[in-house]
Amino acid sequence: MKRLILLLAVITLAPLGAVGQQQRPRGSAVGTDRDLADALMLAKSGKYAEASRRLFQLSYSPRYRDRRMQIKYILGMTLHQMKLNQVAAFQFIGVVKEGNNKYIKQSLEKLSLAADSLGDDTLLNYAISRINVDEFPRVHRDMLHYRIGEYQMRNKQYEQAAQSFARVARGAGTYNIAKYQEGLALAESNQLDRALAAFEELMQARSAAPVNDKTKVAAQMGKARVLYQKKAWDESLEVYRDVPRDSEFWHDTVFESSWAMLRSGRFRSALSNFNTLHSAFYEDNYMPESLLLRSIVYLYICKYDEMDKTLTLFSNIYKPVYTQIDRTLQSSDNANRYFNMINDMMKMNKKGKLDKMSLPIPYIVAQKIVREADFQNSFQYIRKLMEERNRIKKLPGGWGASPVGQYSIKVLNTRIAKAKERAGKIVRNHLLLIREELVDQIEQEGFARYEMINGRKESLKKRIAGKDLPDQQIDESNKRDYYIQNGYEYWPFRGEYWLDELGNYHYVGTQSCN
Amino acid sequence: MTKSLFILLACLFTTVAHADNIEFPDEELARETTLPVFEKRRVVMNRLVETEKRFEFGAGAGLEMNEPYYNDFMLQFMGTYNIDNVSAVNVQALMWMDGLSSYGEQLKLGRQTAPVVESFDAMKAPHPKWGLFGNYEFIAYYGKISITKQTVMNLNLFGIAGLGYINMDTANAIALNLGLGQNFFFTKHFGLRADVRWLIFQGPNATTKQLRSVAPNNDPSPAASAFGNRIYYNSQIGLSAVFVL
Repeated sequence: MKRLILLLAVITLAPLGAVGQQQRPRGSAVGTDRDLADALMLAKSGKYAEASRRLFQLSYSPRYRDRRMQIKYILGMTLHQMKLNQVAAFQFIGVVKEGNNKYIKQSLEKLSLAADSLGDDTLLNYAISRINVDEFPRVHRDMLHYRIGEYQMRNKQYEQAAQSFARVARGAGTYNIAKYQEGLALAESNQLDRALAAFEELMQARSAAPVNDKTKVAAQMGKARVLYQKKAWDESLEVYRDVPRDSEFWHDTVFESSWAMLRSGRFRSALSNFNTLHSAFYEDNYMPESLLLRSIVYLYICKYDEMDKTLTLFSNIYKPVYTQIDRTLQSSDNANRYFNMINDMMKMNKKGKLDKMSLPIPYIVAQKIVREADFQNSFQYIRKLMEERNRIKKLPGGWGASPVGQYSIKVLNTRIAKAKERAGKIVRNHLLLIREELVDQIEQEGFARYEMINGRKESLKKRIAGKDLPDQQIDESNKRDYYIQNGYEYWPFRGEYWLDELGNYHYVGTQSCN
Repeated sequence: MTKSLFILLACLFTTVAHADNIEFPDEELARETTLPVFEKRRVVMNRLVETEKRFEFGAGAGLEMNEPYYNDFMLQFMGTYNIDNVSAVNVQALMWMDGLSSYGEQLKLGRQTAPVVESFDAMKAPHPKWGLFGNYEFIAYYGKISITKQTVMNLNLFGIAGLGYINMDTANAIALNLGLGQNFFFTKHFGLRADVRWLIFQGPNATTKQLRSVAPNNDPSPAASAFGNRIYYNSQIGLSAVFVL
């Protein structure tokens, strides 16, 4: 409603202002002024579709050369009202690019709003780089601070980003995400105490929310990570444990807290976590590092057989993954092809007709890429563009076939093609990164094997030297009785994994070092 | 993080953990009753007892719970094909054991002394001999149970509904078969199946004719059509050994 009132004010004042700047129209120009007045009247009465048709034609008319920027701005407003954000954004960009007109400020403001709706980084960057924050309407200023912070984060200007995020007011719609990003930016710039304070402030702000509230849990995770970064292992573990099981972040805590457990020497606890993490529930998750970490814990407690099994599992899963990624990367560098690979996988997965073995990108890797924030942003942008195109096709009165409709579809088709190419590049970059990481991890696996063989050799040497060694490792006995003192019950693991047991698996082996 | 793995290794390798007694800190034990959230919610993975697209065969015995005249015992055989983990089709054969119940035997003899009770030989009336049923089986639940806390059994809970044929020698009936039951699996392939069934059918009512069997009033066995009909609601319990192929 506010937008509409603003639009009406602009519409009413714009022709007057324009007329005031020029000489009075001569007799032949009276008819053309009426055309513009009619178009404005249509917009004023909420007939945006018809208004946009007329304004589009007028914007190309040589008779309105002097008022072109005014018409383009109003056309942009009209299209924005029709929820055609991308096409509207193009009108505003046109006004800004032309320069030297009085609609630049308003156009930048509207452009940033349209870009915010679309979530397109390119448009946002364009708008943000030209905007003076203090001149931006107060009502949208929080959004702008947040977007500027994002822009600075992308450019690794962490301190400036933290400042921008901190300027978002507490009641603003973007406050939660801005506060979280502030914590992240501070952690990135190694200001750990300030980062902790930011996450705690966010937790405090969400104190009335349910225990599994996404923002609240995200803040908890941020706090736990910062504590880990501070090497406060026990405190970090305490915060990780507070993450509720029915939160989508809980899965991450299982792996991340294993690191904290390892660093604080809680090997049994870490192995307990791996029983959950390496259960069949996570078979589609990409986590080579967790297998290496598990093998290292086994090395610490001299469980060479278990370590061998874990490393073999790593080789069996991730070496073929590496080979397949390498083959795919060498076969093509066409960005569109990479986008199509992922998009086809997502479509088939949704239909439940996916053959995981026949994908050019290994399924677990594709799943990982799909969850990445940059890919999601690009993908959501493409989805919004497609929705906008569909909206145009459904507009009544043949709007889609009109010149403005055809122009809009052309703009959208071009944007969709560009956005797909960009998303494809993101996919390819992730694949390159994963391949590089896998090279490193496969090398680590080799080192771990060397340590394992060395450990076995040392153990044998001691045995030959007659050192007292237990006749058998306690874990070799499969028929042990357990008494759990805390009043809990012991259920032996028999190979099947239950949803309600995830997180409750406990490693009951003991260390075998002599 | 991976690069730090071996730095860590170098730093900590000399640190050896000694822990002969396993202690589970309270904070690491279960505190929540909520379930983890997944995009696709699956209750169990790597099921120990896989039944989907598999056949099950079973044989065992059953007992009529509300049969006054005839032998309560029966033999039962069944074959099941599990379409998936929720639905199955089942064929069940019942063979009633011949003879009378102890109450039926008493009625057969009657009482010759006062107060005199005329004998009633229910064997002369048509009664179920065998039956064959086709059922749909809905498996509502797959879980596990530990009674002794030393061993764990898998179980599933099911309901059945179907139609069948009951042979009564000189008469036949179509019967509705409803039931509830539970499978207890001791291994991946072997278990016990306990169920409660209700057979609902219309058949000859033995009490509508005199069926004396003690001389001199030894009545001949009447034709099935000579009896009046009634609807039977027979409750049965059964126990079978089940093999999953």
